[in-house]
Amino acid sequence: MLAVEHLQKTFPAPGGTQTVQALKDVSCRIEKGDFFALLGPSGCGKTTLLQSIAGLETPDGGVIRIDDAIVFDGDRRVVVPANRRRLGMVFQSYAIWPHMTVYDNVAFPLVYGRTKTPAGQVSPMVMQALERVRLADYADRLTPHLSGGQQQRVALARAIVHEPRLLLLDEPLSNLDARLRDAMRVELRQLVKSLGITTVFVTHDQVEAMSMADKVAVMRSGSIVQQGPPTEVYFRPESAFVANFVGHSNTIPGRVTAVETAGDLTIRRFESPLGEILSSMPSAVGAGEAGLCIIRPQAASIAPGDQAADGSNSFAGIMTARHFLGDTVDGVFRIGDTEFRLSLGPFDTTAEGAAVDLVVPRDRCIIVPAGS
Amino acid sequence: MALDSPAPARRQGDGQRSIGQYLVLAIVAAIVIGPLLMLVRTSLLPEGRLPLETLEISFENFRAVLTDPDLPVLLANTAFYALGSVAIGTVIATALAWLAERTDMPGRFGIRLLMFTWMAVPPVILGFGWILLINPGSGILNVFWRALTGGDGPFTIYSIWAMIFITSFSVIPTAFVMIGGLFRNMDPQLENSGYVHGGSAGVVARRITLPLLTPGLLSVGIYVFIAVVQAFELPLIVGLTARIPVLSTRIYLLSSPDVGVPNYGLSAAFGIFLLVLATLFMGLYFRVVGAGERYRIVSGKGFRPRQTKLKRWTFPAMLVSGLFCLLMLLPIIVLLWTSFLRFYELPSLAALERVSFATYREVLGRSAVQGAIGNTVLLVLGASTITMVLASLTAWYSLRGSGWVARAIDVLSFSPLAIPPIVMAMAILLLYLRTPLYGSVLILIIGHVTIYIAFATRTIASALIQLNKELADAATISGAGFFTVLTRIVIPLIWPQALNGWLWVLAHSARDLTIPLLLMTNANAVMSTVMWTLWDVPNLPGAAALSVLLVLSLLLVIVPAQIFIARASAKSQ
Ligand SMILES: Nc1ncnc2c1ncn2[C@@H]1O[C@H](COP(=O)(O)OP(=O)(O)O)[C@@H](O)[C@H]1O
Ligand SMILES: [Mg+2]
Repeated sequence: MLAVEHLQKTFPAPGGTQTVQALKDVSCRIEKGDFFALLGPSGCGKTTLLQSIAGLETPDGGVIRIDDAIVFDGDRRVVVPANRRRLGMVFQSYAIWPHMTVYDNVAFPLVYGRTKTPAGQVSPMVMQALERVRLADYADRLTPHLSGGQQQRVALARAIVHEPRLLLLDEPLSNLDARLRDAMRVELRQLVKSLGITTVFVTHDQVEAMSMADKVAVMRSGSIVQQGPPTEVYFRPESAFVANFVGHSNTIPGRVTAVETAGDLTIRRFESPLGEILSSMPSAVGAGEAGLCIIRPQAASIAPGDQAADGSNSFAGIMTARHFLGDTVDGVFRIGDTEFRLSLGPFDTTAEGAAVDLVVPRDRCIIVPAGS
Repeated sequence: MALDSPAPARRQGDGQRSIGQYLVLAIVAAIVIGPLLMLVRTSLLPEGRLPLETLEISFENFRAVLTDPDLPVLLANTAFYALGSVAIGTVIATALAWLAERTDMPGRFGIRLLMFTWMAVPPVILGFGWILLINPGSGILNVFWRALTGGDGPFTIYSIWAMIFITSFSVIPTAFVMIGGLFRNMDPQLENSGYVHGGSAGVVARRITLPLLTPGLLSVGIYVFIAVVQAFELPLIVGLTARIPVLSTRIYLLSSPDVGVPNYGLSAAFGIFLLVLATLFMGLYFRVVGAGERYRIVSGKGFRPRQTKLKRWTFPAMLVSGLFCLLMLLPIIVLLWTSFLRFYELPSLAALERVSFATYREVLGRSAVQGAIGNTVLLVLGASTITMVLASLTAWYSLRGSGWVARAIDVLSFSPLAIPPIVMAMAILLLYLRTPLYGSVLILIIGHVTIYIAFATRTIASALIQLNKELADAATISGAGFFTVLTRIVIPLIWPQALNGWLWVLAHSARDLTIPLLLMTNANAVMSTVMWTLWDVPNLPGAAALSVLLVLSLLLVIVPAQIFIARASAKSQ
């Protein structure tokens, strides 16, 4: 279990420029055995958060707990040094020591770590870790000539060999080529899950976060703006930033004119350039307030005829462009004066200039606060 | 709950580390600031008094310096000498570096080898050799000229031009190494895109390569300029006879006059004057290169820049660069010749018959020389080892330490770069004159540690900076303590650079005449001072034999060590 509470970190300004607030009151909680992804654009503070958890960076304030033991407490000035936190970490550069063999790299935490492993157990544990990453044949190799993928797996073996309380991964896949990355996504998750190690995974790639994590936290300039299971973050973004960072979306400005409750259904009426949009999703935006309506390109469809009778929203639009992307077609429509994107199947035959009705179910329209 | 679970340790190791940090600060401050305080005190003494004798303060010495009618001459000489040497030296070095790094000229390796092993050649020896070559009466080149043309030989060693010429040859290797690094570290794609977009070779050189190199060349130029302004040994050997005083020799003459009593006060005031000048230029240097570049040191990694095919220019290029290399080696060849004679004479067939090892036997038989050799070994090993240990700690704490202590260590360890060796030697003399240390080899070691700590710290710091921080972090995360990280990760990865720094200090400590000469007594003579004394007698073959021995023994250490380093770092890349 890992708990981070109200973590703060400000970097001093180099040479008279502005100071950088890398972490602003960050809190999160990761349950034992979970695979937790920190997702955000580069420079948002992911590495700083990970290094604070590791003990390589000392935050200015806040609390970090691992398995209920405090490893950092800003108020009481408790800082457990990094080498006593019993963690495993894969660095972005892999940090494989070039003067040692693969075996020596992996054996390091067992031989030089705080809890010394009996000499007789080192070799079996190293070989087991190497087998898990399918590198047992490479034990005696020197590291500089390994490929990127092999180095990454050595780094992984070194990080898990001493059964750490927590595994930290800093963009471990970003140095690999696309095909290898796809394969490693699956393999990495399976490996970590089979070991049952609690894992924090940093990435700027939403596909990685979505496909690998049990829980995702989206970061933006030093704060976690939303966290939850991947599906929740995807289907119920709480801000336009999250909606656009995790997948694509049409972001339509407007105002909530009324909130109506019928039975256990709450409907918001949203006045927008597209016309009135009805949304049945929970929202923080009340009646009379300005907001943004988020509609995913995959949420809408082209109505075959006049049959939007189930209360779905329906807009009359004209197709202005279609971009063939292989597996999907990116259709661009004009509804009134507003551009609207729709993801179509590759076999769709709607032609440019065609007038169509676009249908969006009410539970696929999400209203988030304006300016988010 | 959480609070009762295994007691969270306080940041362990911090306590010890800050003690180490303060200790290093204290040592560096003592060796750098101590002599400087003494220098300032001495410069403020009333005439005829000694430091610590009186608390009186007088600005008489500074008044004397500033109203000295010779001052404009001194400044003009120093400036002309330095500018001339830098201009000639960097132009030749740039041409040679370009040929060696960026063309397909055969013999490139030879040039590089010569430049990298040149640190085995003391500037004093260059002075000896050139005096034998071009003194107006019996200089070998002048005699040859007379034999060929019948007219008087055109060369004279006793002019500022000769001083500039010799000094520019002594700075070429340093400039070559730095400029070669610039050429090597330039991204070839910048030039390639010039060619792809239609630029001719000339256009690319003028519009792309040269502008890209300009800031680097400028910083090399200023760096070499500072070195020449501070230079003492060549102006001593060539300039004193020629009556071309510069600031550094004036300081020496005031503190060790041939006749009369030393005027330490005035000498110290001149020393401070030179120190201020050098500091101003150092400030300019850092402005030009940018503070972050202070640590930047030549590294030959990464891409291979494109090579220019010389084609029909191959032969002329080889001829000209061969001539330059020959000119560099000429003084050494002359000394080699001289060392095989009993009494100096010009090279001739008749003289060839008298060639023998007699001088070597005679010189090595003297107990003073044997003592000097022992002292030299002690000095160079002591100075290089202590400097590297101190520099490693200094670099570590100034990079990984925190707060004002780290910054103070950083500044203090860099400041000797701006302190001319002659001034530092003077200051050390004043500080230790009446202590038991005076006259020992230890005081020479202290002097060399002080003047070489800046370069050594720079070397280690740049190695540490290039060492990806994540490599050490990965070991820490694995549970390794501070000491394990140091011995298992950091040292195994940076030892080639550390060994290189050690070699550099060793060679320079063996070459240096400044510190040993000012602090010389009968008890702590070393090779360089004995050479100088023999030359002064004059016993030219004796001085030549010692020069040859010194260069040879340095080569025997430097060449194998550099090959070893090159092999080892090639393997782990
Ligand atoms: N040592 C440092 N000194 C100053 N600023 C830093 C330092 N490390 C990171 N930063 C700044 O903190 C912010 C967050 O950096 P980082 O955590 O590395 O982002 P990410 O890993 O999400 O790309 C960035 O603006 C970065 O420039
Ligand atoms: Mg990062």
